Amino acid sequence: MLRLSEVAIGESVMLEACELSPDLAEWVSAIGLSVGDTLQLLQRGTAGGPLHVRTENGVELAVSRDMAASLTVRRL
Amino acid sequence: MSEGSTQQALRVLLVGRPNAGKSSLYNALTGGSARVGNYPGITVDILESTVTLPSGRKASVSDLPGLYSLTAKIGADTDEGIAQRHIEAAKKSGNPTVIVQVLDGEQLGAHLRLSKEIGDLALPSVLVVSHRDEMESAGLTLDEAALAKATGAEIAWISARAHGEVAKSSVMIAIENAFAAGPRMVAFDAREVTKQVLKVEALADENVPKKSPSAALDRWLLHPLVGPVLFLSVMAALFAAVFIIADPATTAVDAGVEATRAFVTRRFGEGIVVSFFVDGIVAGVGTVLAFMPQIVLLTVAMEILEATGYLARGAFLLDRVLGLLGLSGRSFLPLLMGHACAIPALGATRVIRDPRERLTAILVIPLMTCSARLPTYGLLITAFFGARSVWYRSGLMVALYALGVLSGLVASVVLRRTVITGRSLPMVIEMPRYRLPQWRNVWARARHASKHFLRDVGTTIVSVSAILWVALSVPVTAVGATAIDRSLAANLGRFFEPVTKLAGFDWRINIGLIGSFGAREVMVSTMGVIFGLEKVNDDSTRLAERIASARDSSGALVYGVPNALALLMFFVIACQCMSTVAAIRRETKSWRWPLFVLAYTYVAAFVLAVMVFQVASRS
Repeated sequence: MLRLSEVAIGESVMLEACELSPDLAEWVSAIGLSVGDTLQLLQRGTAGGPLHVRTENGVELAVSRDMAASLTVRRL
Repeated sequence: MSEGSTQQALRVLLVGRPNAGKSSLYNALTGGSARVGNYPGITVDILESTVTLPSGRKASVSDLPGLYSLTAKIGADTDEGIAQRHIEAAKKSGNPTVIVQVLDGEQLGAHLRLSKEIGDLALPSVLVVSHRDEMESAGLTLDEAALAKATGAEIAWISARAHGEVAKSSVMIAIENAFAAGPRMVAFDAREVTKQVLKVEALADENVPKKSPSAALDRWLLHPLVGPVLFLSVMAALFAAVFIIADPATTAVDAGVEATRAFVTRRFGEGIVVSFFVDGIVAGVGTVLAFMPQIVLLTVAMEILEATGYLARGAFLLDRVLGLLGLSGRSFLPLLMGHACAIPALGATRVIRDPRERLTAILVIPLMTCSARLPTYGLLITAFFGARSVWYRSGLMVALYALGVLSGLVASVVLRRTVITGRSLPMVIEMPRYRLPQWRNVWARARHASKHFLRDVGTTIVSVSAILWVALSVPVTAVGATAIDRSLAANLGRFFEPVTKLAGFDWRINIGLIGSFGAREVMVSTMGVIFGLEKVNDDSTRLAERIASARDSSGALVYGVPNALALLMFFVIACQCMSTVAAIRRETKSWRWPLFVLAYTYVAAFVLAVMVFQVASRS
């Protein structure tokens, strides 16, 4: 099972599952991390910092490593 | 539509995701005029203004905080929760309301998810698709009719920079049309609608990503090594600007107060009323005015950093480091500014979206070593460590700065485990595209910040200044204000001496501490009066000598290194700044947190001062 936190820079993946409480998952989905969305990893923050991710809608997000570890993805 | 509803002012709620362009539209619709809505328990400002629609009908426009969803419940005190409550209240009230959502046309798919939820409210709505100019230059065309049909909303497609009459009138007409048509509920899929309404021209190959200017900038600005260095350099420059501007501003204000004192004394003599007016009221007003350049500068800088998208990059770069302390990258700027002055720093906490994190930053900013502590540090170091080498004295000053940072970090960790518990928002922040700031928005923000600082903080500062004048000047005698050593403050100082002696503070230091309750820099001038020097600013070395050589009735030295170290420790921790207290009140909209800051910093400062004095006296 691949986590967003394990994806390589430049790689595109599809978000398959979000292991968060329902209300938090809904909020994260509203921001732009919805199950079924295509994501691309652009950068990794220094020393375990957040991930810089672009969604299929053109929204770019900084996602903490902890959060990224709770998102299951599939390589495209 | 009832007859009554046509007479009643229309309520227009501006909503949208953060960075969608709401502020630009608000300024375009209202001409930048705003009053802050009075909503108890809300810590963010909701700007409101009344406008006249083309039909002559009045409409009250409210600029709600940015939100991503109407249905996701992540906390009533978040921006999201506040906006949700307003929208729900408007719907329940039954008053004529139109929801105007601003959407970034280049990210239409993401923004339409919110539109879908707005459609479910069954309220008349307008979708204002902004950034038309950027869309067109990227080869994107919007099918407005198809979007209107798919969503059931009125559509206005505008350029974010077109704040002229064209954008204003097209949105106002859309508002009136939406209200006349009433709510039209249409179920739609955001992804499908995006595909239908956005026409892409001249895109050669969808699989080949085009390098946008933002991506090119991010290669350097988010570079693991170059990025942090650049960001810290920008922050250092901003910090220096705020720090440097404080000095001439204070000097100018002092000169103004002196000139007023001279004029009033010449005109009315040296009576008690004149003293109250000049030393109580004019001095308080002077303190307020001295802060204004810093408030304006920092507000402008913050607005530019936020509008350009660089502040989000800074949060990205520093998030890991501050995360160890229960804070995020967004706390960096306010905490750094706290080293120049807490007042603008407290305003800067508005960039922190998480309410718990913001409150933590507000409560620890008073611990940062602001410039007002330096005169007292300088006086005590000169008095008791003047014989030491310059390196020793410099090291002591650096240690005091480090102690301020350390105490802030410890307080942050403790507060997050005790007083400010509960879940924080997860670190998912939007990284907006780099854009040039709109100067109209920057100016409007600076104007609002100054106006509300004068109103909310200024009145408290002047009141406290007047109260402290009374403490240092009564009882009043036939010849005017009493000598400071027989004042109310002196009596209080003697009353507390048996307890404060544990920290090495005698009644004279206590008078200084009472005098500096409102502003810590007053300590030096108060000590000057106590030790018989009128013009301390001109000769602080003489004051340092007098303090160091002060003797009691038995001829023994009153103060030594342990007293100085304890007093320095007290000054590092205690929130001796009524302006800070008033600013905390303004930012938290409650007296609970400013009183908490006073209590926790004074108790911690005294306990630590006692420990330092007792240890230093025995070693």
